Amino acid sequence: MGHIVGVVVGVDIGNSTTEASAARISADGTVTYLGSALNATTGVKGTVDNEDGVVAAVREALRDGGIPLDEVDAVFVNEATPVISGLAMETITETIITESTMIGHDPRTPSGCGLGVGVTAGIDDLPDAAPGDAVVVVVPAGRDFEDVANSIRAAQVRGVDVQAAILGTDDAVLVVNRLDRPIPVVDEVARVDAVPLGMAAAVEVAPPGRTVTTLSNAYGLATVFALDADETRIVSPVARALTGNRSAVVVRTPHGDVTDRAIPAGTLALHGGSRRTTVDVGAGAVAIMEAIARVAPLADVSGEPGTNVGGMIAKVREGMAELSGHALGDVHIRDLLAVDTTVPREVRGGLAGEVTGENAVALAAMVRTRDSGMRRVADAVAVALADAGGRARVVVGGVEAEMAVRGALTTPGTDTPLVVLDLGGGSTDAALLESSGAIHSVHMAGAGDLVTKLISAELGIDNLEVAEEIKRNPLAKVESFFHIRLENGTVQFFPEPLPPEVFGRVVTLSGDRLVPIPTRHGLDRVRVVRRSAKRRVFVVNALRSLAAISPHGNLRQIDFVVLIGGCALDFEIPDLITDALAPYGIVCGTGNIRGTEGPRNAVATGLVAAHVELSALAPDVPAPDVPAHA
Amino acid sequence: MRERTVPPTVVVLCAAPTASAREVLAGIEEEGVPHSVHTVDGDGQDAVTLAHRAARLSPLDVGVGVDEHGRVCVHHTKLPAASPVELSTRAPGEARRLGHNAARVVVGIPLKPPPDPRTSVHNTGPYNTKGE
Repeated sequence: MGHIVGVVVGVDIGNSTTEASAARISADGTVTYLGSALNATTGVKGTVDNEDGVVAAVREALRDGGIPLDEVDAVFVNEATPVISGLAMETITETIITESTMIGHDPRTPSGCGLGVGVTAGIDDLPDAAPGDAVVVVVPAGRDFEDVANSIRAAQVRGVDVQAAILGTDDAVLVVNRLDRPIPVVDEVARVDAVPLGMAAAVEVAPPGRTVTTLSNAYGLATVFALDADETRIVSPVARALTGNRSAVVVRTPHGDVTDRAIPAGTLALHGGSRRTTVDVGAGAVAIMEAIARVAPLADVSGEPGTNVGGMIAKVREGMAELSGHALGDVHIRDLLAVDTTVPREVRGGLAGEVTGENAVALAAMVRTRDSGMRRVADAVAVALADAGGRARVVVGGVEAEMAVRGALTTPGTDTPLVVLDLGGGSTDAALLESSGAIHSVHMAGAGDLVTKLISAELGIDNLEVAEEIKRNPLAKVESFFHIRLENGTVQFFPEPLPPEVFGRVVTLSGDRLVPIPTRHGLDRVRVVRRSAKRRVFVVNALRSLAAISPHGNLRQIDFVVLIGGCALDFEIPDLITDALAPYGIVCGTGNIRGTEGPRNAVATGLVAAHVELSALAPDVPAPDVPAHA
Repeated sequence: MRERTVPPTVVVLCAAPTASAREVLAGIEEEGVPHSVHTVDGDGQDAVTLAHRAARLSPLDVGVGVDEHGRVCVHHTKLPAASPVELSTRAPGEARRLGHNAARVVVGIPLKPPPDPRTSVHNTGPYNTKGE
């Protein structure tokens, strides 16, 4: 096939979107871009399921340019880099309370104020208490608050020293309001039936806006329970666990304790080009990434058999083998990104659903597979277009990274040496175009999907759809039925009342909709988690990939970085990356393909531009199909 | 003439003294918000109408209506009469939950959701701010 004069369409099949660029090439080689399109990718990238998405994108681009299908001479499909990615997350610490020795869930409406110390007794046993006995009353759920108050008052009248109360139901305010003398009361204890009876206990409630001071102090516990130095040392984790609470309960059980246990997660075996090493996942992301750097370039990763991380990596490899249709032995993890994170988890042995932040490590893995399957896709598309009345040849075009770089160069203000950073869902890809014309590319694990997973895990919402909304959209707090306050402080008013399920909640502004976020955290905390997740994935990977392809690993040798791909449209990610690259003297910004398309359509445009370039070099020689890359 | 100040309360209007009414008051009290309760002559007014009347009587703009069947409604003066904050069936625990929510509207924190989506008139999911 020689120099095509006529209409061509370049198509980029991505993991989530398929983009097309239609252009007319004239006899002297001038290219006029006529239309573009962006659709969802159908099926998994590199499989014949992509056919529908490709055909739709081609037709949409032609419609956009007002060109009939039968005028198209050729369709170029990208030689997709055969890369797929997987994600996993593993907690490496856990907190356990033994013997139900403390309650630290910090309910919203405790009551009373101060410290109460006594022996725990069930409310039905109160009549048996003798005058002068110091008692902490334990009340099962389902008791009426009037009855509870009456029982306590009756005991107090008899001279029983009722010091405090622990309630199963959310009734603390109601009970205290009906007593003659207020006592500290902690309520909403879901497993109140497990509170040990007949043991010394202390209940502390701080005034509104303040936190407990005695039960969160090891020496306070020592005073209350008359502990010696050794006993104080043993009980000090309980005090630490209760700091920052407005209310707390400690029961003096014989061997009760709260421990922060490291979960033996296992080790990763990292195989590099010429070196091997192992690293304990429990050592955290920084240690893992340092170990990876020591054996770079990474050839494969496996997890210690019989451990959590071993199971995790095996699952990732199995998933990828299935996705790519390869044998397990042909799946090689070529890049790994480890990210430290904190995940809210219920405390084991907690009496009231206490939740604490446990350390965890998130892993994104990238697998290089044998071939991309694009040849089969191209054949299927050719048949489909012919059926629809077209006559175009479908050609697998050049290497994706090279096409991306050519497309990015159409951004006004760019010049070589230029790096294109493709911020996708599964991987972060970088390609360097040197002034000599040489192109180098690299693919990093960790991209948009990992950001979403981090947001979902760290906020404890366990819902990837809501996490995706949080990633993509600004936040607001619903302050009344008619107005919300956005994260930047501006207020938005609604003429129609907002529904009850968003009242008082942190929401995302998702287009026309307000999506409530199921979290107890305030807006600022959600915002911090969102931005931190983006930084820990995309800023880290921008620096990692630039270090991997810069001449001599020196980022100062790069003048221009162009950001493309879905996450380049994010309202924060490009700024975070640009700020991180500024110290290296790099001009960085979101691409504007052909001055009109923004960060979209780089590969599709590049496919057209590359064809013209290649055929201009040898106009009489048939340009070969680019062979599949191993 | 000295102006008589009206204390800031959530106003609860009951068509008849029912167990529901007591639970509603308990919910408001547990949230730490003052309430005032009145039994009105049962001319068969439904919970929504009672709630809207109550809201207009409340300096905090929030009212609760409890009809003679124990059905509970939470309303706000700024909402259309036919679109209250929340309306319950007679399922157990509902009256108490709506009492909490009436107080939460006053203090501006998220409402307690129904344990079972079928026990009250509440749509869940994202809200479209433009018309369907």
